Order: sequence, then structure tokens, then C-alpha cells
Amino acid sequence: MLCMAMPALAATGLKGILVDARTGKAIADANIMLLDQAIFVISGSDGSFTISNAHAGSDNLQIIAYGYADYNQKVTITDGVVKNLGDIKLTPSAQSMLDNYEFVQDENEMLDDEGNGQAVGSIQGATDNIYYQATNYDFSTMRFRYRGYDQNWNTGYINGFNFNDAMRGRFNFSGLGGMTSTAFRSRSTDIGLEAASYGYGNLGGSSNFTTYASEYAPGTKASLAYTNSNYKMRAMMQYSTGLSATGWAFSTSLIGRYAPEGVIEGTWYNSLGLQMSLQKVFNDQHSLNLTAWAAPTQRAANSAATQEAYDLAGSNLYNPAWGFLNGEKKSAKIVESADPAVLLNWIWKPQMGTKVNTGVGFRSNFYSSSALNWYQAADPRPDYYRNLPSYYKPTAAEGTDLWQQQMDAYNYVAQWWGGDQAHRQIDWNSIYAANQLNRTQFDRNPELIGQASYILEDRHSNQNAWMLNSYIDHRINDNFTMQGGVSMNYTDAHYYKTLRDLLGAEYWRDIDNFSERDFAGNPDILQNDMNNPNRKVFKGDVFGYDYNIRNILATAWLQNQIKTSHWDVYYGVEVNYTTFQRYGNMKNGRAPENSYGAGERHSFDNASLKAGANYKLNGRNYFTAHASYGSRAPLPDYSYVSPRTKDTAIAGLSSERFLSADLSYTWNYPRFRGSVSGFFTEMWDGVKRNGFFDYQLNTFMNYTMSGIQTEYKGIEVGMEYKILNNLSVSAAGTFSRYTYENNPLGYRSYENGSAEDVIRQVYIKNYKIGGTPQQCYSLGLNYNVNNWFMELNGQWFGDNWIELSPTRHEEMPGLWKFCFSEEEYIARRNEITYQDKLNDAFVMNLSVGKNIYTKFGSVNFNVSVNNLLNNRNIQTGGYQEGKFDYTDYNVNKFPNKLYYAQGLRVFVNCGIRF
Amino acid sequence: MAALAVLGFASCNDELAQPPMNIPEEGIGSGAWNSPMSAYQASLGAINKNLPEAWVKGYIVGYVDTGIGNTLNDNTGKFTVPTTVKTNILIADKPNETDWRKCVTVQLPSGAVRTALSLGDKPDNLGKLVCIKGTTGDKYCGAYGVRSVSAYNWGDQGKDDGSDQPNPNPDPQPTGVTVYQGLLETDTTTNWTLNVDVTGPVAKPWSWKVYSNKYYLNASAYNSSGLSDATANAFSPEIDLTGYKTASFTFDHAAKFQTTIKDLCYPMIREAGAATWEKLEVATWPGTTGWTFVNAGAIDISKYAGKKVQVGFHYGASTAGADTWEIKNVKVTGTK
Repeated sequence: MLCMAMPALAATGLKGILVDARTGKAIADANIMLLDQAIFVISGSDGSFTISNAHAGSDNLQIIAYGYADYNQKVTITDGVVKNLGDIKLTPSAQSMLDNYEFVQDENEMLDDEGNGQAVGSIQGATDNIYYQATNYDFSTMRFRYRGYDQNWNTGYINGFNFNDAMRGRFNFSGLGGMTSTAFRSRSTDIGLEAASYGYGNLGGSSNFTTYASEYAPGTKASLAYTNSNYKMRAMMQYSTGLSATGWAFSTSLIGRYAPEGVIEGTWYNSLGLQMSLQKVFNDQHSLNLTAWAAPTQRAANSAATQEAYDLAGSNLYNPAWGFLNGEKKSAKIVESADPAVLLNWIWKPQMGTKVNTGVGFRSNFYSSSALNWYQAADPRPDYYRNLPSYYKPTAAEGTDLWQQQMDAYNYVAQWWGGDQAHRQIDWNSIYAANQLNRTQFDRNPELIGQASYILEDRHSNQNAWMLNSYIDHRINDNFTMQGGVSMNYTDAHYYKTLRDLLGAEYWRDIDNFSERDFAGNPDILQNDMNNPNRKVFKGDVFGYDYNIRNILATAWLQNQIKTSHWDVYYGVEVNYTTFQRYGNMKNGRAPENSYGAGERHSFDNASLKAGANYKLNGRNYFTAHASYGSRAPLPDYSYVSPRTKDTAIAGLSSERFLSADLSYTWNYPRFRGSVSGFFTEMWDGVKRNGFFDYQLNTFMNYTMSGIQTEYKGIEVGMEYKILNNLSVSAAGTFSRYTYENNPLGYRSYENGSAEDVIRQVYIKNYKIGGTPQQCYSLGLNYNVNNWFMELNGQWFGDNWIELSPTRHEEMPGLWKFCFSEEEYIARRNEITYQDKLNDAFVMNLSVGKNIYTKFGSVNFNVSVNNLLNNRNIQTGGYQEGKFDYTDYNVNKFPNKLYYAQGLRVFVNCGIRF
Repeated sequence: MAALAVLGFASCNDELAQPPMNIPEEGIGSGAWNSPMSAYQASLGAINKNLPEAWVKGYIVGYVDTGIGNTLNDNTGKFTVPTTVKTNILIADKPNETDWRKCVTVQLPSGAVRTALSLGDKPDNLGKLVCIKGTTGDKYCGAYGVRSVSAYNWGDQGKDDGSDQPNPNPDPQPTGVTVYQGLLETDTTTNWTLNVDVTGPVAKPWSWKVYSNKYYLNASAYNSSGLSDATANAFSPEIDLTGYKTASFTFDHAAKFQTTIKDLCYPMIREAGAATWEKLEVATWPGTTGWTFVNAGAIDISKYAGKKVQVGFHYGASTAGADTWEIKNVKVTGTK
């Protein structure tokens, strides 16, 4: 019956495929309109669109795709025919030619491992969401996190493989080696709870980078750039063959980034990246693509300092992580990383509108960061709190002789530390001298001759991951598509320390020096590895701690999308199974029964649901709503109370739950487009782990908060108005609140074993989640003429709270020592629990670019200037120290650690393409 | 607005959580005779800087047996009588306390106090509630204790012997952090604005002076031609109280020969750059017997919290008198 009825409704309209005029890549999610008939459709993930419900006659076809110039064409529609317009080539618009993206990207890479997460979200790339575009390019200066979520609520895919690492749940941008404008240029992005065609996505959204060799535009491009940032010079090249007549395509990219010294003193940067893709297209249905890349990087990083240190040093870019050795700058914080990966994808298109992508992949992450360690010797860090003048702040009654003596000492230290640069950097010469002395000095235990007082150690966290993935994107008819997939990930993470440099000593002894102070009489408890007690450690040896965490994640997802003339609706479900286990390679003396060999296995099954609806009032106005509810397994990296020493998991380890919804109105007129959204997200049973050195107990303290409930809500606005065809103004902003919603439990674990682990309540309800501004506004102007492109924008950031330390929010019975009334107690307590806000900040940026086309190829040139006003007081991040003064409850003893943005930053790039 | 309400911005309870105070059972005292510290406070080592000798209340529960050892522990802490030990007692918040960790050691100097309190002399004292006056915050027999005991009183209050005077050199910082310090006696120069709105025969009544290597701000309109009406202002640079909820202002001052000073001279405050000043009241004036600096006490300026302010001093003289006023160590504190 149905079949017989079909011919009666002879389809009338148009179809075609939208492709990038430069690369030939499909353009998804473009708006396609027949203006006179007010018919509106959106292109699919393969760039195709079909309008089959039109009337015969002439009409105007308009195509609006973000990142591309608007496309207009007069069309004639014949009754009973769906006319095939073939490939419609869209030209990239001026804005996307500026490549601000990689500029932002490169700059923020260096922040990856500073404990507060990278500054850029993993979902990046061109979208038609003006607000989101602003968050990517303009807000990233301030470590903006989309909707306040941790990075692990965004997912980055590469060729369909979920590339968020299994331990911390984050996409590692630096693994791409900076090749984001060459090898990893092609990507599709889905914001928030939008449906994606390559995976289930995540609360904050997802991106899929594709590296299929046939999709790169054939030819060669090369560029050379200078910037005054963490690196100085960058050279890049990409060569692509395009698809040959024999069905082969090949592309390779090479990048080098280099700085003998970065903008922050004592830092340097060496990075090399290579990527290759090889594709064989067998026929219309089958192709195979092999991609491999690696980007080994070695750099000297900087550390955060307190405002006191910045002020005394006279610069907000003061870096305590280096010192002079024989006149040369030597860093103690050297980060080495390499993330090689190999992916093989089989792309099968059994029929028009159906694509199955099946792959197998392997990736490694090598990451190490060096640090000083010392044994029965003074803390060598120049900004150690006892080296700073504030430690000598007078305590005696003012005006007394004692006070005067203390004041003199204070002034002396301030003068000493601030007056001479050598005094506020690491004193390598003394460190070598101390080690040297140990080789010749015989008045100590002769067995200890040659033992190091100071060493430089590398802290490694490596991962090997094997991945299997298969997903299908299937078009059932014009209105109905289905996506689904299965994937499997096995990750073996390995955490350990090696000895990097003996600094002139003969050996290091593998015991816990902090345990020794407390348990001098117990030889076992000092041992880091009871299987090799009192072992002498030499350069390159593994010591301290050594364990693996092995994780298996199996996932399946399914999604339906229904598109009608007025409604687009989708719903999806994901189920997954996670299991992980710790394997100790050392028998730790603080936990002899609970550290060596296989630990307890932790398994979780989880599911989540999401759904969305888009009501198109007409081709110009639409309303969208999304919602999702689900749970996910705890991340292995946050699940153990003290993984370096023992297998103990946090009490009541359980899956996190989340509920999220948003509502938007979007308008899309030829001159004026934009959207307004409101969102609300609640998360339960979150876990946060940090560590700090507890100077009172002389131990490294592992501090884990569990059962955290958080809330994220806000309004987002983005709009763009075209004043002239080549002049537009855009505005974007968010007003949000990200808060803690309960008083979770804090779990303290003393790494030297000097006390039993303790659990205390942490009173943080209604405090703000720190580390990202909760108010951001941006205003920008875009102009282009004769292949000149210019963008000027300004941003204001506010409500950026400092990341709070749970140790300041526990019960404080000892505070009664200092308070003689309830009022005094409350005043003192409130001072301790106070959460500072970072400075409000205003930043202006300017980009100018020019493209010159010749018959041999094209030359492009662009200059970006970030922080045009050279504001050197922009605090980009900050956190309260974990350690707290429980002796005097002096809130100023360990002040906040702060990060500052550099002043004016330029990026000059010149590229050729032929 | 409706959208904001839906999103819960108008949430009714967004008060910040605070860790509970858990007020000790025996309460909290300042150490004054009518508000003695509890044994618990003394056992933490509390020292009230405003009261160099504090009253501490507690039940006499035992003693440290110095014949066994001088450190309070399981072996030396004794909770029964009779005994021969007269040099110390233990007091606690509970009359039948036998956990030495909850006890405060009390050093009994020889004399009337020892005879009256020691269990060696008066075994019947065991279990009695007493208030003891002495110094706190120091360890005695390995535990925080009360030393240099000078007085006692049976019951839960001390005796008003008139000595509960403020510390002659009290910490002038009631609560909060120091927002501003100026006119420090170590400052060789000052960045204060001196001698504004000057009237009378002396051109510059205010000056930055030094005596015995200590600097201070000095005001005088006395001149050899005789007494006349005179005024002059001195004031601080801008002080930023943005973000503070309460604020307090204090300084040290001295004035030996006093005639009109309390009527004509006063500290003052204004919003930075404002035309007029608000007169502030001085809590403590210096004595007239010498050039001894005293702290003027904390002046609450919380109504200016959140603003940028200037503090200053108005000097006035008249035909009835032209006093010399010396000022230093200006401090503004605030709490957030």
C-alpha cells in the first residue's frame, strides 16, 4: 500500500552536497533555505541536503554556513523532479582565514599540567554558534571553561576514536603537537548536548578531528611564525597528494617549535611534530586510512608564585623554577612528553547515506616532569615560605624592642630576596657544593659517603592504550537518520619516578626521607620498596613509587535523529562498563600488605540518556531544548587516596551522576543572527584529589574530596550584525554561577604513614567553583576588503574565584586558642574560609591578515596582537594552598598562588600554499 | 527576570557554609575576673593579649607527682589524695576528670597561694571549683598551664582587684587584616599630606619629626608671640577598603601638656577626595605625665568599608592653649 502511494507524492525540489571550496571537505550543519517558499533544511554530516517538498517555479536558494561566505543562487524547480545541484562549493569566510585558533591553542598548551587543567576546551572548531566561537577564541586567555565544567566533560575524538584519556578523562591537546592548522585542521564540533554523528558526545560537547588523507586539499603549504610567548619560532609544512586516479592519497605534516628562552625567564621550548596519513580508496564503497603521528616535546616550564614573591621580584612573570649554574640558566622543571598514535580506519559506504567506520588504534602517552628532591637538607626552592620575608613578619607587640628586631630581620630578608635576582632563584652552585661535600666528608656515617643531599627526579605518568571502534551513520530517509557505535579501550597507565640528575653526588638512597624523621627506629616503614630495602639509586633508575593502573572501558551508543519541516528531534542512549585495578610494583613500607601486586578490582556499569528538540517557527527563528541524565564511572586517577603508596580506594567509591538541560532561542536573518540560551546542570558524587606538602607533619598529604555536588547555571548570548557586507559587529557574553552544593567528605592520607588516614567534613556549600571566570563579555568588529582581513575585539572578565582549598573549610577546634568570644571566633574563622576573587580583567586583541592569490599559489600573512593594552596585571588563575597553618591559624602564612598573563603578545605568521 | 528566576539565580538560601564552632562545654571566657577562661581554653595555650594575667577557672582534680617525673603523663598525673606535692595542682573542666590530657597544670609559687591551694597542704581541695590568676600560654610540666599564680578565688569567678586594665600595649588590631599602615616610627619620610586648611600665625603646624631614632608626626601652633586661634589638617594617601565589610582605624599618640587638645584636636575620615571630613572620637587619650605614646583604641569606621577613604588628624589651638600632639603608627584594618 505504502509503495503504491509513493509515486502519487512525486517529490519536487533540490538536492546537493556542500563542500569546502579549498579542501573539498563536506560541510555539515549548514542552513539551506528556499527564500520565497520559506523551506528550510540543514545539511547532514556528509554535507548532503535534500528538499523534496517544494513547489515548482523559480526561487532563491540561500546557504548560510558558519565559517563560510553566504551562498546565493537562483534556481528553477520542476514539478516531480528533485534536481541534483551536485557539489556546491562554499568559500571560507574572512574570519576563519585569520587562524586565531592556533594562536590561542599554542599559547595555552603550556598550562596543561599545572594542576588546574588546560585552558582550552577539547571541543574546538568552526561552529555557527557565535557565543561558542567567542569562548574558544576570545575567552581562552582567562582559562575559560565552557559552562564551568571540568575538561573531562568534553570529549575529543580523532577519526571516531574517543581520545579522552582513561585516567583523567581529558583530551590532551598538546599531543597534537601544534598541528592544528595542518594535520588536525579538519574537525566537526557539537556543542553541549547537541547530537553528533560520530559518537555520543559529552555534557560540554565534543569534537571529531579527521585525518583521512583524501580529504586534505592537494598541494603544499608552509608557514613560518614568530611569537613572543612560550616559544618564539614555529615552522610548519604540509604536503598532500589528494586522491590519485589509482585511489591512493597521502598527506604529511611537519612542525617545529623552538625558543631558546620563552617570554617567562628560565623557560625554553623544543618541539617537533610529524604526522602522516595514507588512504587507499578501493571503490565507491570501501577505503582504508592509516594515520600515525608523534610530537616529542621538551620544555622548561614555570611555576606559580605568591603575590609577595611577584611584588618583590618586580614582575608578575617571576618564575621560581630555575637558577644560575656557572652563569647559565638551569631549570628544575623540565617537562618531556610524546604522544605517538597509530590509527587504522576502514570506511565502508554500503549505500548512499550510510557510512560505517571501523577502526583499530594504538596510542601512547609519555609524560614526565622534573623536580628537585632532597634528603636531610634545606628546602632549595627559592620561594619556599621560610625563604620569603613574610615568614619574618613581626609577631611581637608593636613598638617593643623585640618587634624592632623582628622588623629589622624582615626588612633584611626583603632586601636580600628582592634586591638580587640570584637570591630569588635556585642556588645550583650551593646544591652541587652540598652534594660534593658528601663525597669527601667522613664525619658522618661512612656508609653514607657520596649519598646525595639533592637530586633532580622525573615523575612519569605514561599510558599505553589499545582501541577498537566502530560506528554507523545511516540515513533511513530524508527525515530519519540513525547513528550508533561500539567501542573498547584498554589502557595501561604506569606511574613512577626516575632519577634524572645526581647533581654531583654518587647515589641516592630509596627511602622516604619524610618518614625517617618520624620513625627513626623502624627501618621497614622508611622503605619505598621493601623488596629492595635501602637500595642505592643511580641515574635513570626507578625509585620512590612504581605502580600501574589498568582500565578497560567498553561502550555502546545509539541515536535517532528525526527532521521534519518544523521539528528536528533526536534522542540517544549510551551504556558503558568500566573496570580498573591497581598493580603495585613496589612493596611500600608504609603499607606492606596493601601495596605490592594486584589490588582490588573496581567495576562500574553506567548509562546515560539524552534528547533534544528544535522547533523551527520558520526559516529565521527557532527554539531548541536539550536534556540529559546519566552517570559515569569515577576516573581511576581520582579514585585512590594515596596511589603512590597503597591500593586503598576512597570510601564509598561510586559513579558520578549528572542532570543537564538547556533552552535556546536562535534567530537567523541575513544581517542579524544570534542566539540566547539558558542552562542548568547538577552533578552528584564528584571527586577531587589534590596533594600538598604538610610542613607540620613533614609529609606529603594526599587530600581527596568525595561525594561533591556541584551546580552550573547561566545565560549565554551571542549575536552578530552585518553593518555592511564586509563589516560586521559581534557580541557575546555569559552570566553564570558555578557553585558547590553540599558539604562533602575530605579524606586525608599521610604519605609518610605518620598518622592514620582521617575523614572530615568539608564545609563548602555555596562556595564558588574556582578557576574560570563566571562573567565574560566580548565585543568584536570584523572587516575585510581586497583580501585584507581585520578583527578587533575587547573582552571583560569578572567573578573569577580562586580555587579553594578544603583544608580551610574543616572544623577548627584549635582556633579557640586565639578567640575569647564567639564574635572573635566567627571573625577569625570567616577570614580563614574567605574565598578571594581574582582581579576583573579587560583584554583587547587585534588581528590583521592578507591573502594574495597568484596563478602559482597563494601567500597569506597575518599578525595577531593579544592584550593590545599591555596589561600586566591580568590574573589568569590562582589557588589556595593546601597546606594550612594549624599552629597559629594565620591565614596569611601560605598565601594564594597566582598565575599572571604576559603583557602584549604578538603572533606574526607568513604562509604559502601551492 | 523570569528566566533568571527559573534558573534559580534568585535562590533564597545561598549562605556560605561555615565549619561549626562547637563552643566548648564550659564556655569561653576572656580571662577577666568576671569572665574567666575555662580550663579547656588554658589547655590549648590560649593567651589573651589584652590581659597579661588571666583568670582561669577549673576544678582541682589532681597534681603532677614531681617525685616520679616532671612531665605530665600516665605515670605522673595523680588524681587522689593524700600527697606531699605542694608545688603544683591540676585543674580541669570536670570535677572528676582523671584524663591528664584534659588537665591544665598550675604552678604554685611558695607563699599564701600555695598554702591555700595545694593538695599537699589542703587535701580537701580535691574537687573544688576555683579561679586562678596567672600567666597562660606557656608550658609547665609538659602541658599548657597557668604560671606565676598571683591570686585565686573559690567559685567560678575571680576577684576584681582593679588590675583588669587593658594591656598598656595592646594589639590594636581587633580583627581582620591590615589594609594600611602609615606614619611608622621607622619611616624616615612620610607620604602624608601635611598642613592643609591652615589658619593662624604658624605656617606649618604639622611636621614629621624624629626623636631618639623614632619618627612621629608632630603638631603644634605654639609660637613665641603668644597664643592665638589656629587650625591645620594632615591626612593620609588614599586607602582602599573595597571588598571589606568592616574596618577599623587606630594610631598611637602622646601629649604631655594638655589644655585644649581633647576639645580642639581629633582624628577624622572622609571618602577619598571628598570636601568635608567626619570627626572621629578618640577612645583613649595619652596621659599628661610624659611623652609616652598610648594606643588610641580601635575606632570603628565600618560605615566606610567598601569605599576608598583617607584618614587624617585635625589640629586646633586657641587663645586658651596650643598643645603639642604627637602621632605615629597609623593602622587601618578590615575584614571581608
